Amino acid sequence: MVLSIRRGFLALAAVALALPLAPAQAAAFEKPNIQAEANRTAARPGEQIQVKFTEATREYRVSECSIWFGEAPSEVGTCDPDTATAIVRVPAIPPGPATLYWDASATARPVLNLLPEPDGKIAVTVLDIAVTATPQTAEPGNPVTVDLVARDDNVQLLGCEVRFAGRTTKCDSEPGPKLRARVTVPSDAVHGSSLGLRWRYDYIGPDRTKGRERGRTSIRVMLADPEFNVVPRADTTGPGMPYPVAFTSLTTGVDITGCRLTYRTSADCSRSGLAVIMIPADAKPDSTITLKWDLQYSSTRPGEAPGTRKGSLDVKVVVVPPDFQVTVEPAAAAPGKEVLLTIRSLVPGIDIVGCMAFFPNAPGDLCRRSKYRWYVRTTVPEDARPGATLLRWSVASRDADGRPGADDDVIAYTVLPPPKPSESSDPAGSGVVVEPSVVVEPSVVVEPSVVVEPSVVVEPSVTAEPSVTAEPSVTAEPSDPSGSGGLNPPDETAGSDGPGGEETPPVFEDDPSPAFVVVTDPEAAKPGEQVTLTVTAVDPDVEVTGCAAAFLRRAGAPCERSGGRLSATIRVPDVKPGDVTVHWSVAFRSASARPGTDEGTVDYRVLDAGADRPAEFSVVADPAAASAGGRIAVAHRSLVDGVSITGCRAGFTSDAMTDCRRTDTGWIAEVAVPDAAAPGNGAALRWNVAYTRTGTTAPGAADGLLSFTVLAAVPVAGTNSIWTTIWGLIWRVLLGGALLAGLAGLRGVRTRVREWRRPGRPAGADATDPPESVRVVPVVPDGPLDVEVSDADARPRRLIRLTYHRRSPVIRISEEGP
Amino acid sequence: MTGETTSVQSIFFNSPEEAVAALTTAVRSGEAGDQIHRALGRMPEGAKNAVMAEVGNVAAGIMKLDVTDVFTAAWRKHSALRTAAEATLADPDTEQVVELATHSVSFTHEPSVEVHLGNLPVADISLQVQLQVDVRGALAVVKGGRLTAVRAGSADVSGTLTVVDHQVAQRQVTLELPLTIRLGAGLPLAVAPPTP
Repeated sequence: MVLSIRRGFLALAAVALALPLAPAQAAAFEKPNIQAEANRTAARPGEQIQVKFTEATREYRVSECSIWFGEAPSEVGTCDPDTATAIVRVPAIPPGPATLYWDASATARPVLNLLPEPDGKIAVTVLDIAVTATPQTAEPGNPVTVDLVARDDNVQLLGCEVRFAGRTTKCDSEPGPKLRARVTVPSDAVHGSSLGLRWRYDYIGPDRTKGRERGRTSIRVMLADPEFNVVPRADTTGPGMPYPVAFTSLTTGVDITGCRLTYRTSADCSRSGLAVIMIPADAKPDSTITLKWDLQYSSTRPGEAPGTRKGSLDVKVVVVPPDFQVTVEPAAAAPGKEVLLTIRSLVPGIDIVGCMAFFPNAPGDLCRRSKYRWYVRTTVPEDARPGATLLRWSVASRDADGRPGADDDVIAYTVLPPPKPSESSDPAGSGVVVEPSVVVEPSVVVEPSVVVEPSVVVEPSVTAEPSVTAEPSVTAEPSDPSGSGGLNPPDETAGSDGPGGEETPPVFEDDPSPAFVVVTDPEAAKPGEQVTLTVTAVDPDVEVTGCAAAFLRRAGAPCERSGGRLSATIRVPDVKPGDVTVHWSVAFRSASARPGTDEGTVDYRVLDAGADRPAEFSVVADPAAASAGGRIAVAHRSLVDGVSITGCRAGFTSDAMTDCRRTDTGWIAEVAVPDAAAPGNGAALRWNVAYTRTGTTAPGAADGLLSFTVLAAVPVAGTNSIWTTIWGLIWRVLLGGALLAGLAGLRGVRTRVREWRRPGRPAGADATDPPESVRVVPVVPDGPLDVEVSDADARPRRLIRLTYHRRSPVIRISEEGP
Repeated sequence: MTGETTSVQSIFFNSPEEAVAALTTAVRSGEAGDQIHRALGRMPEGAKNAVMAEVGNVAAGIMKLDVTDVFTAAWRKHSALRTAAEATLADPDTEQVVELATHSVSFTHEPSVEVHLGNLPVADISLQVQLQVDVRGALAVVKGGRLTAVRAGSADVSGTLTVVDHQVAQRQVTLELPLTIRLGAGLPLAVAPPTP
């Protein structure tokens, strides 16, 4: 007899209607006792749970069954009546505790309820094991981390594998709730592609059931944007000044193929990525100008196309007050003629320790130090073309704390046409100019033409100069590396060996040789006259303990202490007028109390015994910088005994010269800075002097230039005077054109002067390292190598194909018997 | 076998020191020397010498280009290798050994050395390296889309090195490819298509 009984209210009601038995008869049948048992009580969404149904009374046979999660009642598991089992897949429900309901009957009858109603329930834990790959977008060569995390405390991850870019990587952790694997995006992965990442892991749940899960994701290959450095070589700039900017790529595999700076005009980069643009002369001080830049690049990174970048740089335009003032005499000179520059510090506490001056394409000359001033005589090159040129000067200095400094600048200078042979003022060819090249009546002030011929201003050869050869020679630096013929300086602190009798002590490498300044008094002398030479150390911590000096390596004179300094008195030999060499040597005790010696040479001007000393003048502007409309006092003073000023003038333009007036302190001209003067440090005051010599009635005249800086001021509208249109334009065009051509020399001078003054490195000595002003930059062509293959499509001579057959390894373990 | 790579420099010179010396001598003479002399103006002779020595040093450094890069750049263009690469990429369980037909490779490299004075380039010393390589009996191993080894073969290399149009060195050498080529993890010859 088969009796269908279904547990539950509806089932019982159906049975009651179908079998109207008496209550006593009905009680004779024992109700079926259906039990359900799940094969696991923890699983991840998607995994299957199987429930086995049994009937305890053995009187019935389970004929129907169903299981479902309470959280997803519409997903009912399938039932196999033959085996009395039902299988359900864990739905995508939140992880954590869940309820699995079941329903079963022992007889075949229709299920009346559309939604199942439970006959029982089983507690199930839905597991949560998260797999993440980070980052989802990665660069070639960069790592990707795959993390597996079980959020249930009782779940253990037993192991995992990640397959990525053709390689299999196992997790690097011990079994536990977390595992991690690291893979790397191949360096040749193509930009923009996606690489599949497959993973597999094994775990054991809280019910000790083991599981294995697989999955996949993809990693997108994206190259990081290439990065570039666009770095100005200076924070500020000035009107009419060059402004260099360096372009570099910061990304490996990305090369800059072209770059450019633009501000009104454009300047392309050199092959090494340096662009230099001229700041317009009319750039307003204290303004900020915006330089636009753009670059093109190519890439060897797979899949990356060439590209461009553009941007801008804000640069502040400033006009810096000068630290030094330079007087030039005369204001114009012909090729082969000497020009005298006197340089003075404008800043208290900053002392000049060396300087130089030079014309383009000329050797240049080093400064000399006299009792009163730093000065340098340099010569206009014989091949200089008449017209405008740039006279360059540079200064090395020390401040009150001993810190070194340097400055340099240019003065627009006029080269006169070569004098006819009959006009030569130096027929003997001694190179000594004994009088100004122009002699005029005292009452007439000669104004050298600074406004040069237009054809020179725009002379293309100036800007077309391919290289700069105008660097001054620093080989004239006092030095005699060979030591032959050098003087042995007597050391006052030495023992009984006396002057020159002591062996030269070593100068230790960590205590480099200090620098010395050699002062001669007077600045020039005639044969037979006495000259006092004083050697002082630039570093106040260095003590000069002895010195000696001699003309032309002849018998030298030891120094004697006088007024706290050591000086040697030597007599000018009977030589032709011109420069002769004075050799000097010094013994010193360094700042670290180590003894040392040094030696060198200076040039000394020997005057013609039968001629007067050339007239020379000190011309000083106070202040040395002023804004447009300001007033300055230009003081003139004779530097030569017996030469008296009888009149003078000073001004910025030839049509606006101001007469001097005689005061107790000298001859002074009150000069107004033109209202329309453009700010900048390229201006120059012009001065001229009429003079007489004691004992003669012949008048003389001299002229020259004085460096001056026009400071920034509020511009006055509508005041474009002739000054602006002619003089300002000319020197700025000069400065712009010629400076660009000779820029390297100018920019390098400051550093070179510093190097030249650097202790322990006498100029002219062989250097083992390049000067710090010089950089040597390798330039390797961009892009792939230039390689050609002949017959690239030739078939191979032989092709061998090998195929691997991978089989699972068989492991056998034989154990010893007990 | 050593782990050192064979550089273009070593084709022309027996040692790095010899390369520096020869290139410095070349830089000091001829047009290169004139360029630098002009550019450095009246800089002390010692300093100029130091600059030229540095130029020679940098030029020698540029020439340390690995010849493996030359061969690999050439073989990327070789059809037989590319075909083998694509085949092995499609079937990771295969490896192909390709015996290349005799072929030649010509290589031109034109780097330069700029001299900057202050902030500006004032001289540009150009170098030119030309190599003509005849490859014989090369046995290339391709696996997973990559050239993973060269098991046999030799290369007859003849080359000239020029500094500012002045020939500095001319050499002929024979390289054993298995000893010369350093492929590391393999040279990619074909790239897997993007995963959709």
